[in-house]
Amino acid sequence: MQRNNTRVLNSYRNPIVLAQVGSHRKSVWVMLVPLALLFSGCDRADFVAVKNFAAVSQAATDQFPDIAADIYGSCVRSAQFEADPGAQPAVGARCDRFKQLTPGLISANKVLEEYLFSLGRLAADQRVTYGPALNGLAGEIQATNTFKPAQINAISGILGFLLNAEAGRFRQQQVEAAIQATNANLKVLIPALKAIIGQDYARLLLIEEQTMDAYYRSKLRAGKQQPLLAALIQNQWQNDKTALTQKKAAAAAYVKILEEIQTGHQQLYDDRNRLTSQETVQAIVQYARTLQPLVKDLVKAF
Amino acid sequence: MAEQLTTQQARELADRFLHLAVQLADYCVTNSDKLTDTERVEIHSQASTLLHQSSDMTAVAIGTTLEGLTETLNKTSQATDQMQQAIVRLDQPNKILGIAAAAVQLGAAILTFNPVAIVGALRGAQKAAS
Repeated sequence: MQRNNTRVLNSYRNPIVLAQVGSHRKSVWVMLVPLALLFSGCDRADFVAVKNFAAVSQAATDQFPDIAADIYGSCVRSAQFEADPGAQPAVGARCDRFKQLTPGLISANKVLEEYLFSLGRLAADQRVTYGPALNGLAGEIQATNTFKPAQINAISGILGFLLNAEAGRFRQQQVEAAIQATNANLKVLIPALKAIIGQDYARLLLIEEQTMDAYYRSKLRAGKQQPLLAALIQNQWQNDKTALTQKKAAAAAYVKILEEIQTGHQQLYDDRNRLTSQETVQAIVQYARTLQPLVKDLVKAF
Repeated sequence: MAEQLTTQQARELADRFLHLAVQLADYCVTNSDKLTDTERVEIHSQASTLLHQSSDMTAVAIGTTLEGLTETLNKTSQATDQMQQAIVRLDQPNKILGIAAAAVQLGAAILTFNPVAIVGALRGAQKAAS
């Protein structure tokens, strides 16, 4: 979400507008948030590990809409490499199927992002606000038919927790309950998202690569008598390959991010009775360090 | 629809059809001197169709939650294995073209969820790879 080159986080409630930071705007604040949290100590109990986990994870999952949109984007790019213009209508229909799936995927990821945001608020002893945008999420996810019943239940479970958290005016005392209530649901939702990005999106990028290579090979064959033209084609091919490589890296990075979120949350779940301990803080700081370079890979691709 | 693909099956098939397409493309590149223009165009066209089918199966994997078809999947896996081995083993463009056509037919049959067409395509695939 961008408005006049400024970054707006959670814009539908309590927007936090960050200053203009140019092309590095995404990565800079992702690195600063955990550091700022580490050195802040004004809360009643210092749930720095939970706040750190929530901030970094939410920042990472915030990149998902770009990837989800590129599931359709990859299909369209493959179509553009199709040599046969007669096949275009069929290709259009093929890509539309992916386009229709995008909102549901973004919504499912949004549930994860909202939970992480809410966890951060609870850890900072702030109330959770269940924004109006969340009301339609469960229905939207169900309507896309993308997820299995167990996954829908997991998503609904997390949404239900958020609703309870708002209605029950949950604060810092409920951090442990939040982690406990959602851990099992995260173990269902996160693998589903991982499979879609790590297997399906990654496969579409391979299909795009094959189509692209075939296209450029045929162009080179046709232009082999013209060295200048061949050099231009080679150059364009290389540029397209570089862009595709970055997208592959982004897909791999997002899978790793999801794995780290699951592992980090599991760590919080295992340590839920000693969330302020030095060991927990150190483990989560390490987790944040792993996550930050992965976010850079995402930013590079989109 | 009596028999449908599960998400996992759709993913496995999407991968298998992608690998077949990659093999055909590689065959074209490594044997470009041996192939006539017509043969190259035809193999490329079949590989392209297999990529479309892989894409369609990916859409199935993402977009649906389907069950069944286990037995057919096993047979399909065997058939795609045989075809992959045959592409490596055989060195005659006309045989490779036959395998490519059979693979495309099999993909089309699976995507229509038509058991009769699937059985027929499986036979064709096994014959082409033998």
